[in-house]
Amino acid sequence: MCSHFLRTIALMWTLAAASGSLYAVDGVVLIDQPHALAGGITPADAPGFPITISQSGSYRLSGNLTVPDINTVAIEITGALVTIDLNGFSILGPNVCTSSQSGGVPTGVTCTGSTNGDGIVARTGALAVTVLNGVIHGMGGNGINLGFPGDGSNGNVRNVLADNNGGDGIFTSGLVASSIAMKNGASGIEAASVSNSVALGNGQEGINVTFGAASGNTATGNVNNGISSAVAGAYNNTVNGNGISIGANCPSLVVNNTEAQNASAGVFAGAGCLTSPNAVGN
Amino acid sequence: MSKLLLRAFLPAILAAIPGSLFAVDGVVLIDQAHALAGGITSGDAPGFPITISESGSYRLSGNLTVPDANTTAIEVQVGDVTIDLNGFSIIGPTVCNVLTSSSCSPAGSGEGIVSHVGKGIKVLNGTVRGMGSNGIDLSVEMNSAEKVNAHDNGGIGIFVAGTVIDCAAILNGAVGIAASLVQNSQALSNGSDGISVSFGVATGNLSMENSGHGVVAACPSVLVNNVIGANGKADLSLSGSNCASANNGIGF
Repeated sequence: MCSHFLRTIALMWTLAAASGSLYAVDGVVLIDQPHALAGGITPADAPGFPITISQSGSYRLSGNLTVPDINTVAIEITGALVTIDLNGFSILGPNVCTSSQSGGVPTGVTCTGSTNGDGIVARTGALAVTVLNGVIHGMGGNGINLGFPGDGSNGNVRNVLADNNGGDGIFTSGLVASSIAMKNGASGIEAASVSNSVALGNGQEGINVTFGAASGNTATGNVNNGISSAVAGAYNNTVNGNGISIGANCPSLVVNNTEAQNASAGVFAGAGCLTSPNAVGN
Repeated sequence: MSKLLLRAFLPAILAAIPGSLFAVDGVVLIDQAHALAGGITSGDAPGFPITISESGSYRLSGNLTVPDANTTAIEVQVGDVTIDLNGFSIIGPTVCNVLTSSSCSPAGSGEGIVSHVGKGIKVLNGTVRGMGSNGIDLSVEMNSAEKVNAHDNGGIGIFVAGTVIDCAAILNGAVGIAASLVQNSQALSNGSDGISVSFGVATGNLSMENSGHGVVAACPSVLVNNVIGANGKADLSLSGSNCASANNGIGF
């Protein structure tokens, strides 16, 4: 009797684990392709894409997500206080971007399309969203879109690679750290502040900061400004091989940067910018 | 045979039981239901604060929401405790408008995570917002906070007599971050100073648009590679002697 009971319990546990439970044992909601297609990840989530995250909490990818076309959003967030841990997995779309140059100067990035098909987007009211630890590749729109600087939504991104997306690689209202944006159709990273990140070969700005600071970054081979600062700081960055080195809307602090082999020097519009010392070799 | 089965599957069975307090790796899981039920550690009464009286590893498995600004969420009474917020949030009702009215409402005495006795306490990976007083308050030495966001708390965002790494303190009523070592962190739009270090190190931080100073240091301290600007008072304020300040971007 006892052994029969135990065997039954063990079998039930095994089946539960094998069936792809929505919850990790620590309460985090797991997201993978089958659950995306089935729907019900949160109460507002319908079958298919986008996955709708309407409840505050912690979410983690347990497999790659693949969207069918460049017009499809992978994850839309409508609730506040959401953490999405990509957990080393990828959000994948079919967009492909190619870069062009003339005489060693980047002249453009052309993608299959540029749409509203973002990888992860935070809708109005989705405050304090955090995305970390993974890859967003080939989306029709932005790789990540968590609001714009100054809107108070406080979206943060850490340890993300965003490449071959038709819009920005990463566009957020808050902080971006330790991330990479490569060959995106628009800008690499746009945020209030960006630190210890890389912007490589993007179709517009490499890194664009507003009301914050860009520090400790590398911006290479971007079509427009390697770094653009709007009432912000650009400090201790390396900027090389871009169409333009560093530009700013003043007042901004642009000091201690290393600039080399950019096609043209940056423009500082307005009054009140501090622009030296920088190591300049354009 | 039945004993063998029991030994083999008991941890998984316990973890799989709905609302189990234990993850399969021995970490104690904390959520709102367990907070209200009590018994997370011995001496933990039903309701808030959750009282942690045993050294060990704890992990949130859901958000914690306190009922008012005078309620503390977690009180740690011992040392050697790790609290992994696991991407979840500790949430209170307070909202701060420091940019317009320099005030947070409702004000109160409730803190997110507090300990005035334990050493070796580590808090990581989540958000503490809306507490009536401090977001995190670990006033004994050798404690740490890592990858924590603290915003809209009526008092200090993050106060740790130890290290703060890779954290963000935004729109708190008082100081953003106060610690011995503050590294790769951001303090934005707080009601008093952005970052305060005492006889320690501030390196690689961003401190902007705070109502007080950007960075305050009690010397001797080391301040390197910080970006400090647009604060209500002098961006950098040093008291005492023998501070080392180098390679900071200050003032715009």
